[in-house]
Amino acid sequence: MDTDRAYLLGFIIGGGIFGNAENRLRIRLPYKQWGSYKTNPTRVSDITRDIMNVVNPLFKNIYNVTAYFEAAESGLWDILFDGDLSDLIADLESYGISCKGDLRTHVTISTLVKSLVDDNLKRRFIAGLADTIGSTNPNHRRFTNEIQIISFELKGFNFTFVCDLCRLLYSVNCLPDQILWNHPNFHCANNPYYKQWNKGFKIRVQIDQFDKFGAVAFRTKAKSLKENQKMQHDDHDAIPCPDREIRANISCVHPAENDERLPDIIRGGHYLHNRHVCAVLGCEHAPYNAIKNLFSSVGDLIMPFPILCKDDSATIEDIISSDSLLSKRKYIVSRYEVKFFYDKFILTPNILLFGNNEEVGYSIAEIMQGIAYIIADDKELNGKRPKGNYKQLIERHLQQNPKASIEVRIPDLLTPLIIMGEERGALIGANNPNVYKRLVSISTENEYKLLVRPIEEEDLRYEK
Amino acid sequence: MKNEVSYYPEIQKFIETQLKSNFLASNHRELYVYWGIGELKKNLHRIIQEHPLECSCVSSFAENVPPLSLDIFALITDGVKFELLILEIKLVKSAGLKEWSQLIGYCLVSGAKYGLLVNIDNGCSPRLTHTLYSEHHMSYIQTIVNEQQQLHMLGFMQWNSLTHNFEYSNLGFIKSLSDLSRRLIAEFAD
Repeated sequence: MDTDRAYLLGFIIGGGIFGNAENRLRIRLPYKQWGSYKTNPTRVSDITRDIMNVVNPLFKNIYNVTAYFEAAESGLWDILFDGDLSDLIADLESYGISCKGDLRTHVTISTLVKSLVDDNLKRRFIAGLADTIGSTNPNHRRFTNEIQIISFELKGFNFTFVCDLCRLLYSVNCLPDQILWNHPNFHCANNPYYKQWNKGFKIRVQIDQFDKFGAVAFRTKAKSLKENQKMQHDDHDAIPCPDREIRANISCVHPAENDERLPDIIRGGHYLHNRHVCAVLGCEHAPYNAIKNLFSSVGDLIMPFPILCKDDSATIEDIISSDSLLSKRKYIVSRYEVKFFYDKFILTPNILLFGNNEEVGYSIAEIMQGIAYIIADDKELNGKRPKGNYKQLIERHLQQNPKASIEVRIPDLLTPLIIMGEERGALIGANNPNVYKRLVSISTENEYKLLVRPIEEEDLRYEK
Repeated sequence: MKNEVSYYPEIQKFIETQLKSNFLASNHRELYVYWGIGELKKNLHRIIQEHPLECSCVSSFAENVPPLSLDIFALITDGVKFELLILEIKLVKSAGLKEWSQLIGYCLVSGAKYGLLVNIDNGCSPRLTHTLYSEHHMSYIQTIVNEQQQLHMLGFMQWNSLTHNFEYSNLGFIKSLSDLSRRLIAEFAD
């Protein structure tokens, strides 16, 4: 191992895709709009320069291959190679890395990391990764421009690689600000019927943190980091994982928790917080006690139904008819004025409706969001999301039509409340912590892994 | 406006860090890198005085080396063997034969085995590019001094002041800092 090789290995692992043909490698730089010649021609000439002046001489020196590139309008860059890749492949294999397909999706870096014997070698390896998958798009910020982020973005299901990379950053005192796991509990926490949950991993690091540790070799990345940093007015420190507060929100139980693509250690589990995954993976920096503390209120943190599912009326009807627990219910069907719910919300925004005690029932805030979606004009929606504030949208409609109403179907047991308009509908799950907590058990193989069994009619009937 | 001297610390730090990392990764022991700016002989004596344990192997060389004014040099040692690395750092639009000749001269006079011409944020002239590309003896020089053969291996690199990294040109005999490290590692392992 040497410092230049460490950089290149990071670069290859970050973007390397081996083709079916023997000895065919492309390194994909997924820069998207940030690196598109249509949206940013100046940056494109800089990226070209970086590939030819930074990457190419290194590949020539170390593996005796010549790099060239292809760039697409979408901002995808592919670096390709002329020459014999045997040395490069042998090098990767010596670290236990199999040269097949998209490396990020299956790579294990534990052997390689052992050969990064000091912080500088680790830093060089991370620089290679940052130049490929470290996104410096200024949209990666924490709430406002004041805290800018570099986000390491990875597709696939390689939880171990993400965990090892996070540890590696931590080991050089570059403390990740947030880790977003590619799991349905985080990518679609509200709606178990939403199937496009596979959106990838993100390891987010504050730019100030990354700057202190300072590792990119691409001029374009360095410039972009500096531009983003200028948007901040102060320096910001990162907080070590064990010292950070954990605030968990309720999430629905998603069928994709059992997706076969998830690794065994993760599959079948329900996760209350991103750092709950870290605990299950056994990271030494995971906040184990804080995670265990969440278990005592697990009934408030899981929902075996959708928290809020919005869709067109036909799809909502299909969902109901395909789920026996929902289709077998007897519903009281009534029309309610929107103003009824609005007034309740203004008076007590946390109130639960149609339940049998203060802790049980349907959240008025979720009902209001469902109503906003149902009564919105097409132009007021961005997909299924109301544009702007949902309360203001409802107020606008009430001004035009104070008598506006929706159909409400209240089930005999606490399965989802159904609200329907003319073209759109919504399902809202009930808060019902005492019932839900009985669905949860702890895995015998991992004391931090929570298993949630499907809810049955008996569970709801027993409670009633 | 920064001048070339103001870049010395960041370039020194980078080179030193890479050499030490590579040595540690390969030989699992420490490498020592000491820097001198200005006159060679005086600086060598100062370094020996400050680090007698690590640098006693340099004493006889320091006695015999002629006085010579340099920009910047590194004494690299594992405590048993040592080598000199001379840096010729420039902040010019394009480094040319003049700068290369200067580096050769310094290396020949001092006996330094390794020399790097470093231009900050810029490359080298087409003439120098052509020379280094086609005439290998311009960067791999063998001399006979007092009936002893001496080797001088030189390279050209570009310092990127934004990323604080070297960009390699592949020009000259020493292609990269890892290449330089490999040679030192092999030499010190003997």
